[in-house]
Amino acid sequence: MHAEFGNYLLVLALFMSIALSIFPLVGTFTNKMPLVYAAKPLSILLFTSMLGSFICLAYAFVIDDFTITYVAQHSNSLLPSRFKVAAVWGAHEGSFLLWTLIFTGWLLALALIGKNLPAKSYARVLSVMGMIGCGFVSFLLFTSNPFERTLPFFPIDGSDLNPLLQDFGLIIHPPILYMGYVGFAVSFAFAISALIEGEWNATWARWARPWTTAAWSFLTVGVALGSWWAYYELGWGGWWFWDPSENASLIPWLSGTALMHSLAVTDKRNSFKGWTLALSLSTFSLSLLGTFLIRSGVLTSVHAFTNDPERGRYILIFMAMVVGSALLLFSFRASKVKTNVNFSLISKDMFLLANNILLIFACFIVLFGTLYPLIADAFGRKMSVGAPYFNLLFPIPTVLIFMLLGVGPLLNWKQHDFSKLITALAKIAIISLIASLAAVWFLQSFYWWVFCGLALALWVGLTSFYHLTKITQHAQGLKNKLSKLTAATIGMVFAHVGVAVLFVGVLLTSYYSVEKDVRLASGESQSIGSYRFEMVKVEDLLIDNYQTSKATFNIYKDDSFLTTLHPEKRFYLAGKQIMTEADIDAGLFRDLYVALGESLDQSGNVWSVRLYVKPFIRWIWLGALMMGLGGIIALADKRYRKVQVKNSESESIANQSNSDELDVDLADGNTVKS
Amino acid sequence: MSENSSKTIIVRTFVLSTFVLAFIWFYWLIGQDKTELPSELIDSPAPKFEVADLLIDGVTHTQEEFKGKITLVNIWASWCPSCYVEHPFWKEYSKNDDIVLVGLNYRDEKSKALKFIREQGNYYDWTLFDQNGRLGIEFGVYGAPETFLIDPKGMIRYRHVGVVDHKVYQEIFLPLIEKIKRGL
Amino acid sequence: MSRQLLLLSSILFIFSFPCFATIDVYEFETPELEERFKLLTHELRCPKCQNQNLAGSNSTLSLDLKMIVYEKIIAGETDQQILDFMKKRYGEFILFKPEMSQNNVFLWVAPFIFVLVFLVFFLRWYMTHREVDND
Repeated sequence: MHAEFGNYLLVLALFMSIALSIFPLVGTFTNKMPLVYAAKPLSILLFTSMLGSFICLAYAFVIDDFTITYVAQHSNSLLPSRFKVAAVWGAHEGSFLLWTLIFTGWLLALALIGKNLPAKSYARVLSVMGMIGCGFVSFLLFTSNPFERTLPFFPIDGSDLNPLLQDFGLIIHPPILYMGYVGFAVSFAFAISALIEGEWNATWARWARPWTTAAWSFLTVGVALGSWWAYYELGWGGWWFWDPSENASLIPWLSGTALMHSLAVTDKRNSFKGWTLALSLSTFSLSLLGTFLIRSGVLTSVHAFTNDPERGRYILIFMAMVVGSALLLFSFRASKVKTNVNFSLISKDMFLLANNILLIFACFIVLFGTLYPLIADAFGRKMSVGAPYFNLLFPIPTVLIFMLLGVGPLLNWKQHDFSKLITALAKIAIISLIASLAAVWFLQSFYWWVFCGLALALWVGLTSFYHLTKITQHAQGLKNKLSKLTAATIGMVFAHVGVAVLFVGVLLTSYYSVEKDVRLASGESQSIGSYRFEMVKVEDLLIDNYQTSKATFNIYKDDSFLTTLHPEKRFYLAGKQIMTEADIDAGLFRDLYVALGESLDQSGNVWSVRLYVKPFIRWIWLGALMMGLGGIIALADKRYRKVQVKNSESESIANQSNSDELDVDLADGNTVKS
Repeated sequence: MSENSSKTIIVRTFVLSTFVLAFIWFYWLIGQDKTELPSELIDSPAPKFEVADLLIDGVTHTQEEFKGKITLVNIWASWCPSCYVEHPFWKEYSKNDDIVLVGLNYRDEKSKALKFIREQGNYYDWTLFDQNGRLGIEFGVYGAPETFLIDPKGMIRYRHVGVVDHKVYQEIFLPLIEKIKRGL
Repeated sequence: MSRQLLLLSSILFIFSFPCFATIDVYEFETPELEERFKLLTHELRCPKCQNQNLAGSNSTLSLDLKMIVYEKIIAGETDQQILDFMKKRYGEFILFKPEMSQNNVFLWVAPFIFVLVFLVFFLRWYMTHREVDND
C-alpha cells in the first residue's frame, strides 16, 4: 500500500503545485485577497505531500519491499539500515524525489518566514515557486516515478546499492548539495516576482539576501563534501577532477557567489539593479542546466545517472520554459531599471563590481570548458577537455580576485580616500611576501606558484584582521570591541579567511604531495620522508554484505609508533563488485593515505600498495566549511529580521503595485502603513 | 531613440537566436551515443604487424596479407559476452566469396580462445593471436567485438563497434563492399 | 622479483577475477622520469571509461596503455611523441589537454573574449551613466 500511497501523494503534490501556480497569482492581478491568502496553505500542503511521499519510499527501503522496482535495483536485505535509508537517493528517481522534497522545504520556509512581506509580493513569490515545483513534480510523476512495481514477478532479493555509495558520504553529500542547488530557486522566484510586480529596489534585495546566502552556504558545503567523499572513497588521492558533474555544481556556485555580493550592493546602494536581477535569474538557470546535463546522459561522467532520452527531453523543455520566460520577462521589464554611476573608482561598489566580473569570468571558463566537447561533437569531432585546461585558466580570475579581496572590504561605499589606506596595505603586502618566503623556505622546495599563492592567502587573512581592528579601534576593552562587530561583518570576515585557508590547502597539497606505488610483503616497510609504512599482515574476513582482505599497517614517524591503518579490498557478494577502501590517518597538517592494489601472489601476503603523504589537504574542506559557516553567521544579522515595508524608494517601473494606497497588507494578515 | 531601439532589437535577436540554437543543439545531443568513438584509421593503411596464428603453430602473419582482397577483421575474445552472440553470424558472412574473414583474438588466454573456436565453430579464414593486446591498440581497439573493413590496397575503410548482426551487415557492410568492388 | 614476473602475475590475476587492479608498480631510474609518467597518465584519457584518466582507471586497456607510456619513457621518447602515438590511434578524445591547434583556438580564446566583451559593455555603461557631480 505504501507505494500506491506514495504515488498518490505525488499526484496530490502536483495538484497543489498547479493550484499554487495559478490562484495566488491571479489573486494579485484581480485583487481578490482570499486567493492571495491561499498561497500559504497551498505551500504547506505541497510540502506535506512531498514529505509523505518521501517517507513512503523510505519505508519501502527499510522493510525491504523488493516489489518496487527502484528498491529492488538499489537495495539488498543485507544492506546496513543506515544505507537502506540513504539508498532512497542513491539513483535517479529517488534522488530527484529528494530534490523535489528539498525544493518544497525551501518553499515551506519561505511561506512561514516570509510573512512580513506585503501580501501580494509574498503570494507572487510563492506562485513562481509553485510553477517551478509543478515542473519538478510532473517530471517525477511522468518520467521518473520511484514507486513503479515489479509485480507480478519480483526478485527474492535486491541488486544491492553500488558499493561505492555504501558510505557515510552518501548520507550527507546529496541532501546538503541539493539544499544549495535548489535553494537558488528562491532568489529566482524573488526576481521573477519583482519583474512581474514592476518593482526592483534595495528593499527587494534585502529580502532576497538571506535566502541567497543560505542557499550559497549549503552549496559551498555540499560541493566540499563531494570533494572530500571522492578523496577518501575513490582511492586515487585526488579531490577534484573537473568532471562534468563536479563542474555542474561549481558553475551555479560561482554565479551564486557573484549574486550574493551583487545583492549586497543593491541592498546598500540601490544600484546594479538590472545586473543583480540578471544574476538571480541566471544562477538558478545554471542550476537547472547542471541538472539537465547530468540527468540527460548528454555528458559522460563517472557520476552520471542512467541515460534515458525521454527524461532528458523533458528536463530540457522544462528548462527552456523557465529560462525562456525569465529571459522574456527580463527583456521587457528590466530595461526600464536604470542605475547611474554613483560611485568612484576607489570604492567598495567598484571593487564588488570587479569581483562580479571576475567571478563570471571564472564561471564562464568552467561552463565553456565543460560544454566545448559537446559543441565539437555537433561538428563531428570527438575531443576532451579535462583538468589541464581548467587548471591553466581557472587560476587567472582566482588570483585577481584574491588581490582585490584584500582591499575591497576595507573600502567605504561610494568613495574612499585611498591615500589613508595605502600605507597600511603596503605594510601588509610586505609582511605577506616575507612570511610566504619563510614558509616556502621551511617547506624546502621553491615553487613560484606556492610563493605567490601563500602570499595572497596571507594578504587576505591579514587584511581581514586589519579590517576588524579598524572597526573596533575606537572601543575600549574586549567586550566593547566585540559589540561593535555585527553578525554580517563577522560572517564576511570568517568566510573570506575561509577562502584563504582553502587556497592554502589547494596550493600545498598540489605541490607537496608525495605518492608511492610499491610492492610490499607482510613485514616489509616503505618510507616517505620521516614516515615509515609497515605492512604487518593481511586477513580475509566476511562482514555484512561483503568479503574483505583487510590489511594492517603500522605507521611510524621518526621511528616512533604513530598509528595503525586498515585498508581493505572488498568483494561485494550481491553485485559481485570489487572495491578498494583506503584508510587514512587524517591530520590538520597532513594526511597519511594507504590503499591496497592487488594481491601479487597466492598466499595473499604480497600486495601492490599505494601510499600518500598529503600535506594540508584538510585545509581545503576546512576552508570551505568556514565559508559556509561564515554565510550562516552573516544571515543571522538582525537587520534582516526587521520588518521592511517600504514599497518604493526611488524608481518604480510600470505600475502594478498599490502605490496609491497608504496601507499595505502583509502576508500574515496584518496591515501596516507604508 | 531609434538608435536605442535598433540596438535593443539586435540584442534581443541575438539572445533569442542563441537560445533557440542552444535548445536545438541540446535536443540533438540527447539522442547521441556518448560511448561511440570514431576510428582514427579510416582511409589509412592497416598498421604494420607480425603476429602469430592462433590455431597453427609456427605461422605468423603480416599486414601484407590484407592486400589483394577485401578483408573483414573481427576483434573477439572468450571473455567477451557479445562475441558469443555475434559469432554464429560469421558462419553466414564467411560464405561471401568477395571477402576474406580474419579473426583477431584480443587479450585472451590461448586455451580459452581455442575452446571458444572448438565450441562455437571456426568461420575465420585465419586468426591472429594478439595475446598482449598491442595489435589491438595499433588498430585503436577499445573493446570487443569490433570489426574492420579493409580494401584490397590494405587501407582501412570502416570500423564497426558492437555485434555485426543481419541489419548491420546488410545495411552497412554490404553496400561498402560493393563500393570497394567497383573500385571506389 | 623481476618486473616481467610481476607483470605476468598481475595479468594472470586480472583474468582470474571479475575486476582489475589500479595499482601497478612501475620502477624508474630517476624521480623526473616518474614525474613525467605521472603527468602523462593523468593527461591521457581512458578510451572506454566514463571520464577517467589512465592513472585512475581499472580497465585492461588503461593498464596496457599505461605500460606503453612506461616503455616509451624508458626508451627515451618525449612527452609529445607519446601523446602523438596515443592520438594517432584513439583520436583527440584521448587527450585531456586540448591541443593548441586551429580547431581549438576558440576554446582557448573564448573566455578572454567573453571578459573583454563584458568589460566593453561595462565601460560603455560607465561612460554614459555618470552622474553630474554636485558640489
